[in-house]
Amino acid sequence: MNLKTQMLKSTIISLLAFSFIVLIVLIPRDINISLDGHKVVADPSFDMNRYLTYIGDFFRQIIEHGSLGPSRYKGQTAEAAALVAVGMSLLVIVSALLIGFVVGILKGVADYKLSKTKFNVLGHWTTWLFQSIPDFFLMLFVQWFLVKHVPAVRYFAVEGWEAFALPALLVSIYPIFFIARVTSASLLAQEGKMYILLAKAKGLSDRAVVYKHMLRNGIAAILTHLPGLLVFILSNLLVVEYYRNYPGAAWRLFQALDFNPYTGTGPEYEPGVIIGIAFFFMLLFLVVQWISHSARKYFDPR
Amino acid sequence: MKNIPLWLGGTLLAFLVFVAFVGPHLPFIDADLSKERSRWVMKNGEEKLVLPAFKPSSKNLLGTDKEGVDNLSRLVVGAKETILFVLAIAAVRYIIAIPLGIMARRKTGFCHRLITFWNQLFSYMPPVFASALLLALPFLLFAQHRLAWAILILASVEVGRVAVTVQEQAYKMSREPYMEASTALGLRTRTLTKNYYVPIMFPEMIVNFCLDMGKVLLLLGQLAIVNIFLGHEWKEVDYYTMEFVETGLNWATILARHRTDIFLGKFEYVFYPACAMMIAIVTFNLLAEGLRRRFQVRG
Repeated sequence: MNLKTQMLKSTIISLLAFSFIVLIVLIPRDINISLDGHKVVADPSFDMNRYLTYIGDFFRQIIEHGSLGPSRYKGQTAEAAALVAVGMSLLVIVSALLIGFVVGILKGVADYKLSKTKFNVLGHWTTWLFQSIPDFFLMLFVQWFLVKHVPAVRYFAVEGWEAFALPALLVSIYPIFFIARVTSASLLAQEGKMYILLAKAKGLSDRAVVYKHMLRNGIAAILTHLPGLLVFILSNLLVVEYYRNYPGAAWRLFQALDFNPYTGTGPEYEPGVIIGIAFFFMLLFLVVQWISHSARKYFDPR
Repeated sequence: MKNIPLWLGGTLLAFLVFVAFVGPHLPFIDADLSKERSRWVMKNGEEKLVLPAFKPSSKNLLGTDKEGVDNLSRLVVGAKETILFVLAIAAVRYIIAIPLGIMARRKTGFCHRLITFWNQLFSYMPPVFASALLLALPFLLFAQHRLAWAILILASVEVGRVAVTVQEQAYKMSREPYMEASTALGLRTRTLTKNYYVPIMFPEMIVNFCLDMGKVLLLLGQLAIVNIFLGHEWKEVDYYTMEFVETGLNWATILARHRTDIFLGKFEYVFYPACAMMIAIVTFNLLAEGLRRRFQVRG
């Protein structure tokens, strides 16, 4: 498929999927609570007319005022709230993506090389283990360790180097091992191929064979996993931001949901903020998908 | 070489199943989860009244929570429900995804477009956001069969991804010479499915199924962290105050109940359920790795 058609296709599908999400977000979430004698009764039934009004209002607001609506804070629009939240997390997301990709490939190469020695346990098995530990447990453990034993690091900081370095490092743990696994699998799959044998026969060093031939050849396959990497990062971001009480994109998205155990969705439900942040996630996903497509075309034109 | 992951995974699974089904009947497990409001303890030669939470002792191996309920018993009693939930969600997911993926094997037509869309729909939204968005819908919150709906939602959020994997596999298979031969022979769809698709696709499917069980449990844990339950009831907890009270006894609810402890620097109550979930996830992943080696499926 042509690169441009491919990009156009993924864009159209993403936009379609996004409009579906918008429709889900706009479903009315307020419930009528009334008193029947001394009994509190809730009427959660779905009201089509109200739903249509909500959708109409939302799009009217976009067209007439160019706004996603109000946020829970006075004087702040939903799109401004979404932008602020996204701004708090953007640097973390992008650096986690980079760290995950670069360190992941290095770790993958190391795993591959270690699998030839008796230290195999240190290679593939550490990768496997870290991939198996659930994120909420690992983050909990790190938090416990830092809070109890390394008080010099301000774990809950919202400014200063900790505010950026801690989440970026924590969020990139999973991507590193994910990419490492993909990399070493791609290297292992190439073993014994003719061009590898030729390169070795020419007397090239192991390093040159791995980096110049095998990695160069496998990078296209690794790049296909870049969008998946982003989803990993976003889902880890929620746990890290929630534990740290850091008002980034994932945290703000949940605040906008305003879920409480009394009435489910509370009165502060902000569809505009959710849609704004979801739109940004989609955009980021799309950009990563484009990068992955074009880089694949560049590295592997076949 | 011996298949260590399969052995380890199998042993751990047997342990989990034992804990889930026999565990509540063990003598040191309090299956009723009775609350012990106070306890007399000998301290320096005199009896003293102590209030919960009690520290780990020979009576409570992991201690008790603030209501005096034994932590270990809670974990053991919750194991069965947790494992059944995970199994149900993963099973529903595959029951929907496999037929869709096989029907879309030609990479054209309605099914192909449906699963491509479905896959893209939640691809940029981590499953935990999508499930939270759907689970909090009012008519689902108050639905009579809330639990069934919750299972269906958690399953369907990732149906697209699974269906695309199945489709890819079926597509690759349909281009093999033996498939062309069978088509040329004029085999019926039923025979094709029984003798070709199922035996060839089964190994990879079962490996992916195990991995998915791990993913489902991860999702349950993440949902618990943000305090969304699967099964609950809207009950009057105070005068004219209604609240969703979780009805289940699973690890996710224990995690949810103590999640605010994280901000207070109290980790022990959160650690126990998180640890149990980690062991289960590692079990499923070990099993997947072992089965992969057993069937020689390329990872």
